[in-house]
Order: sequence, then structure tokens, then C-alpha cells
Amino acid sequence: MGEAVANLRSSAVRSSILFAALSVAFGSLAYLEVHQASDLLAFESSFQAAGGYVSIVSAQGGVSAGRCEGLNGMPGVVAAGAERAEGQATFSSAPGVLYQQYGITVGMPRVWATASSITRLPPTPGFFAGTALASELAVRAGLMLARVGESPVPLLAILDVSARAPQADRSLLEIIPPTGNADECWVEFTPKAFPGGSGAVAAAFAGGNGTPSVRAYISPDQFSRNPTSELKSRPQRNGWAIVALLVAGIFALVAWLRRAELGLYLALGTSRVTLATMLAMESWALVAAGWLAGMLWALAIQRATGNALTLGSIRLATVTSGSAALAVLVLAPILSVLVARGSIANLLKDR
Amino acid sequence: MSLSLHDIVHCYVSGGLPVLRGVSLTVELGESIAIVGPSGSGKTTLLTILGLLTEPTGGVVLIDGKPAPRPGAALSRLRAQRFGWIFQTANALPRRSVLDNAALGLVVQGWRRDAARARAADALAAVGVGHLAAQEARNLSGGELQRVCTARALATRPSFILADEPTGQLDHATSVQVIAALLHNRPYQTAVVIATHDTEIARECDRILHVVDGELREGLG
Repeated sequence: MGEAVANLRSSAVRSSILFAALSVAFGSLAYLEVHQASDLLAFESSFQAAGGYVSIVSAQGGVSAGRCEGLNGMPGVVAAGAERAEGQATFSSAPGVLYQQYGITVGMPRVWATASSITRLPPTPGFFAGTALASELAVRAGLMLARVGESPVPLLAILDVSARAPQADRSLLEIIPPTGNADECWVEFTPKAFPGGSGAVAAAFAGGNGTPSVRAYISPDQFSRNPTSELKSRPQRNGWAIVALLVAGIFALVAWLRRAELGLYLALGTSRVTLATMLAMESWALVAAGWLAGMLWALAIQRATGNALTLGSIRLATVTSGSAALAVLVLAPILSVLVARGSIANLLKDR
Repeated sequence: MSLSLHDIVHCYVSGGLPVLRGVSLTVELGESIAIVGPSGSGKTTLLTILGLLTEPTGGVVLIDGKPAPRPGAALSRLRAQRFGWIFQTANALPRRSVLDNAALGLVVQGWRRDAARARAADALAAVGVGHLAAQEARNLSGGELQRVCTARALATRPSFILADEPTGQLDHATSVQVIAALLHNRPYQTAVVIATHDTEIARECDRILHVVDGELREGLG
């Protein structure tokens, strides 16, 4: 440890050059990531909000509401819920106007209205209303609502389903138990699970009424970009390996230039293990400092140029440049030790 | 304690001409030996085999009558504890201080840095370069540097000091000073083996061995 620190301090110019090179390498990778990922993650977020990762299952004769609700426990499923059109109704406060009614299972509010926190059947009977219906009837949560010819029932909450289910926004929504058949089952996946989700969902409904058909809520041709594949194919996702090899190569080059020095350590009785430890400590100190500095300047430039800096993009930048740094932590000492391999007498000759 | 070579053969290329052929030699504690011979005769090879830096192609190296250990931690420990080295050129860490360079052998042995520096300072003073302790090694002249390396070798109080052409790049007056510093400041039981082509330096030693055609002969040849 002492020798590693003494070597770093005594070779201040070499250490500074290495530190600068590492900071540039890791920082460039982090900057590319944070810059491009901010845009992609924002797009992915809006794509997700628009229902980009939602699939709809339907079948001749309907789909099982119970099976649909059962998907909520499946890995990669954010939420799943079934809906059934329940005919039309009029309200005492707006006689003569017909409104559509939907029966929805308890998982559906989280698919149709992403901000919903409803996770179980309400304890008391009651309705939910879409925002358009609530606006037309001038009602708010907690008021009583009476269908013509029926007793008043409390309006439990108003759900904003306008983004994903605009057809239901001017509708009365009633939570129904997951029994019998529903018209459709809506399933929202995580971005990663979405591509393979259709097959899993179709399998879950196999053996029911008719052949289930699974379609994406947003058809692929509605968007010219696919954020998931763009995130997957961004060059820096694998670029970390190239940066790691490059930086580890720089360490190997430095070790090659120091081979007489390494030979001297060995000749004086330093074991190869101790020498490897010393070289590892020297490289680890520089890699840690270079990575940290690189991250800081990458984030600072992103911020200074007025670009978005999100937690998601910082996380991606940290993971990508951190992967490169970790790989260097492993590779640099190995390559340096390889350079110092072989005859000590030969190392001492290489001056 | 003794260091012996028995019937050493060494080739740098497999199947090639041997640099050393059937060399046998015993180094006793306290003696000084000069190995002379022209450039390329195998003096350095013989020295690195003696100092356990090179494994010979054939023959045996014995330390206290036992074969030298195979490469590994035990061999490294032996090198650190029993051997001191002075090489012809660039045998120091150029950007480290003279004091750190003189203390390097002790640090390698596991000494605490301040204790190593204290012993190294004494060794530097003994060879007449104590005033240079704070300088960077790269700023020293060749003669000063060789005396620093002599101090490094003496500081560990090794059983054997091996010097490979220690005055090869020095003028005559400086050469005499360096050799005097080495021979007169060593602990009485430390053996010194010097590879040199300078016969005047060789005459300072107790024994002179001559490498001729890969073989070792007594005398200046």
C-alpha cells in the first residue's frame, strides 16, 4: 500500500496524465449515456404513459375475468384488469341523457388510470366515474349518484381514463368481482417484458372460450420510434467494454514502460503477488478518482448545456461507465502482471 | 553459510549454444570475488544465476548445501533477505528520493518505512552521499547513483552483494570510490561478487575468476 501511494505521489506527472485520460474516457462514456438516455428515457416514459406496453386480449365469446385478474401476479406484469360493457343508464340529475356503463375488475383502474391506487374491491357499494361524466353531471367524489329508478349510491372516486380509455371517460364504472366472462382483458407490461408478453398472456388464456387474440394497444405503426429497441441498441450500451479494454491497455502500456522498475522490485525480493497488489492499488486509486471525476464533469456539462438530467439517465450513466471502471479494475492489474512476467534478468535489461 | 553453483549450464535459446558450460563455484561468507571477462562472455548471466534471478538450464544452485527454492514466495523471501544487488545502469526508481531508493530493500523485507529510512540514512552516510538523501534519484550523476545503490545493498546487511559492472559507465576516479565504498563498508561476513571487465577493480578482490568460452577459470586468464 505504502509503495503504491509513494509511486503515485512521486510520479505526479504520470499519475496526472493517467487521471486525466481516465476521466476523459469514463466521462465521455457517461456523458454520451446521460445525454442520449435522457432523451430516450423521456420518450420511453411518454410512450409508456400512452399505453405503449399495454396488450389487449379478446376472444369470441369473451375472456375469463378471473384469469385476467390472475395475471396481476405474473412477472413483468404491471397491472391487468378486465372490462365488460354493461349497457346504458340515465341519471336523475340528467334525465334523458344516456351514459355507457362498464363493469371493470379491480386491476383495471391501474391500467386505464395509471395514477390509480385502487388495489381491491371497495368495502361499500358505489360507482366510479370518468372525468368527462363527472364534469357533465357536475359531481365529485363522495356525492350520491342515482340512476333513474334506483336508489342513490355514493360516487367513490373519479378516474381519469381519458388517456388510455377515452371511450370510458364519459362512462359510469363499477368494480365487479372477477367471475364470468369479460369483453376484454387489458394487461400492462414492464418495457422489458412487453415483447414476450403476448405469448405468455395467450398461454394463460388457452383452453378458454375460443382462441384468444392478443393485440398491442398501440399498434407498432403508430410510432416511428421504438424506445425499447433504441435503448437496447444504443452504442454505449456495449461501448463500455471498448472503453475498458482501451483504458486497461493504457495501464498495460504504462507497466511496459516501467518494466525495468518492476524488474528491480522483483530482484530485490518483492514477490509477484505483492507486485501485483501494488500495481492493482496504483491502478485502483487512479480508476476510482478518474471515474468519479468523469461522472461529475459529464453531469455538469449535461446540466450546463440546459439538457434534462433525470435520475434514470444518471443511473444508466453510472451503470455503463461504472461497468467500464469495474472491468478496468480487474483487467489492469492482470495485464500489468502479464507485462512483468518472465525472467527478471530480462526485465532489468529492458531500460 | 555458502552459495554454490554445481555444473551450471545455461542456454538462452533451446538447443542453442550454451552461454555457460559446466560452471561450478562456491562463494563463502566474507570473501570478495571478481568475475572478469569480455563483453558477452556470460558474466551477467553467471551473476543472475548466483543471485537466483535466472534459473539455469542445467546444474544446481545450492544455498547452505540445499537446492535453491523454485520460483515463488520462498525464493522471493530469500532474495530479499540474503542478496543485495548493484546493477550497471538505471537500477533505481528515478522519481523517488535517494533516501527512498536506499530504503527500498528494507521496505521490500517488510520494514516500517520510518525505520527503513533511518537505517538507509546511515548507509547513505557511510558511502558518502548522505547529503543527497532528499534529492530525486534521476537528478544524480552516475557515480552518485551507484553509491546510492551500494547503500541500498548495504542497508539490508545481506549475505551476498552481487554487482554487475557497477563501474561500467563511470570514470576511473569515481570507479575507485564506488568500489571502495562497497568493499570497505560491507559487514565483515558479507560476500561480494563483482562482474567487471576492469582488471584494476578485479585486483581489489580476494579472488579473481575469468569467464572464457562459457567456462570459469581462476585468475585473470
